[in-house]
Amino acid sequence: MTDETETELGESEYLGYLMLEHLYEVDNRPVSRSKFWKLCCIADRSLVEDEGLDIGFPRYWYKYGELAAVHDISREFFNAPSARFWSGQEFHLDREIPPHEFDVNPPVRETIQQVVKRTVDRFGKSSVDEIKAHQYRKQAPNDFIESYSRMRAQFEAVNLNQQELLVEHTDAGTDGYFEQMLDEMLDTFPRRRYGDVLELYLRWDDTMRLMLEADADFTELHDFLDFFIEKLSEIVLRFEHNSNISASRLDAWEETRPVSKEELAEEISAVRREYLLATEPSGELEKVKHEYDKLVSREL
Amino acid sequence: MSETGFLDKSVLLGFCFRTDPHHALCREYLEADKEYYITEEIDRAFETNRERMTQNHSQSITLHIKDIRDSPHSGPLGMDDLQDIRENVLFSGNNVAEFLERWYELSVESGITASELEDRLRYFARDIERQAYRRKEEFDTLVTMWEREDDYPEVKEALSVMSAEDMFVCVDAHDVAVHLDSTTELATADESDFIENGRETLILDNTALDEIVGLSVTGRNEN
Repeated sequence: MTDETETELGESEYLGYLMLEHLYEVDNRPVSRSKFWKLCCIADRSLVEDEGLDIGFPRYWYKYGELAAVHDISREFFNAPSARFWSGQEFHLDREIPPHEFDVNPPVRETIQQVVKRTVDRFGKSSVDEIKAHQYRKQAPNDFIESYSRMRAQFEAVNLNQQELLVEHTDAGTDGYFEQMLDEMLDTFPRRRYGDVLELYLRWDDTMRLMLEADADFTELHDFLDFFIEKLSEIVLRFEHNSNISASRLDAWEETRPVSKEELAEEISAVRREYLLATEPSGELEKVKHEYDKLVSREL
Repeated sequence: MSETGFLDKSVLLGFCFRTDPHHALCREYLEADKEYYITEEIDRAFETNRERMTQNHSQSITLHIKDIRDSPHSGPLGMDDLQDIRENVLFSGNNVAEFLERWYELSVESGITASELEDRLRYFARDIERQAYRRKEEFDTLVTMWEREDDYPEVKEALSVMSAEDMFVCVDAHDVAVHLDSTTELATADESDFIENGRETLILDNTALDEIVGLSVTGRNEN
């Protein structure tokens, strides 16, 4: 990917700068990369939806929430060294930047200040998981994304030793509950908008059900869900749900799209093969075996 | 009867995909007391076919499941509901529409609930893929992979009237016959390419093969 970092400090950078400044005031400690950018996205969304102000902040939906296209935002206002207390980076202000260095007109400046303050007041002390939960509950672009995000959250709430849910509403048992969640996903899948991935999704869905029926380990189910959502994001979500993403960024994503599709297809086939070989035939094919033979003969 | 059999792709396809009597014939042949060989190319050609066909069939069925879920049908399904599903929900452009029609006709009765129908369709789709995987696993235990050692330009020249794919099968089989100290036959379920119209004589006259064995049911009935 090309480095498209712009050197000037504009409205998006001003939002980021104020965010770091306020987070320090509230928490007085470094902020994680993930939390910082997620809060910037939430603040920008509020600017657009509540204030009717689009400052051109680049963001897109990826996996369980919205992310900033960080390569399209100048790095001039922050430092991001390796974190001392967690894996990843911690974000600090690079230096005190006088307001006039930001190319932002006064009314916009004031609106950004208000929204950033509101965002930090509400989420400044929240964990990244709490912020993610807010994003998929309140900001998911559709019911399908909300469904799979809830399923992921439930997998994380499973007692892996007991293979049982730690939460309520398990009348149908843990497996039954996950089947219901798969049903919700199946019923809400936007088949036209996500048409490019429909067949792979249906194949993944049936493989998840097969794994549940075969009492697959919950860690494996969780990983298989996570892998699917990652590839779904690369193939469809970030194209369908974004704002202010540059044409060159979209082109770069487009280039990797076939690779992501291939990787998803291969992983589904590998898992599916393993579970199909480990389970017994149902006898449904046997009922029409001669008709199947005719179909195969025609196609060979 | 030869001691060694070199297998054309059609035998592999017959063993892994076809139902009886085609499958039985290939199985009977592979369970005889011989050494069996195939090449990487044949194995790869099979994998391409397997993926194309079984995934296609299975995906067409899961697509039909999605269509049922998106239709107004739920709960117990009466004759009219099933009729509607077969006529309107089962998209005629679906790869396996005709085959699924037959499955409904032979095995689905009124009173079945929409979710039972969905489950059975899922099992059906899985059976199709599972059968090909299982049989291929079994097949792999019965055969040895052969890597051709020599080039044989004169054999290629003599068999140049054949398609490139069929010609290479014969050259690979010839290589097995040349290097093994045993009688060798080429087994195929595709008689039209390797036996009929003078092909058998052409191949036997120009290679070290001792015999060509036809394994198709049609071929067997005609003999």
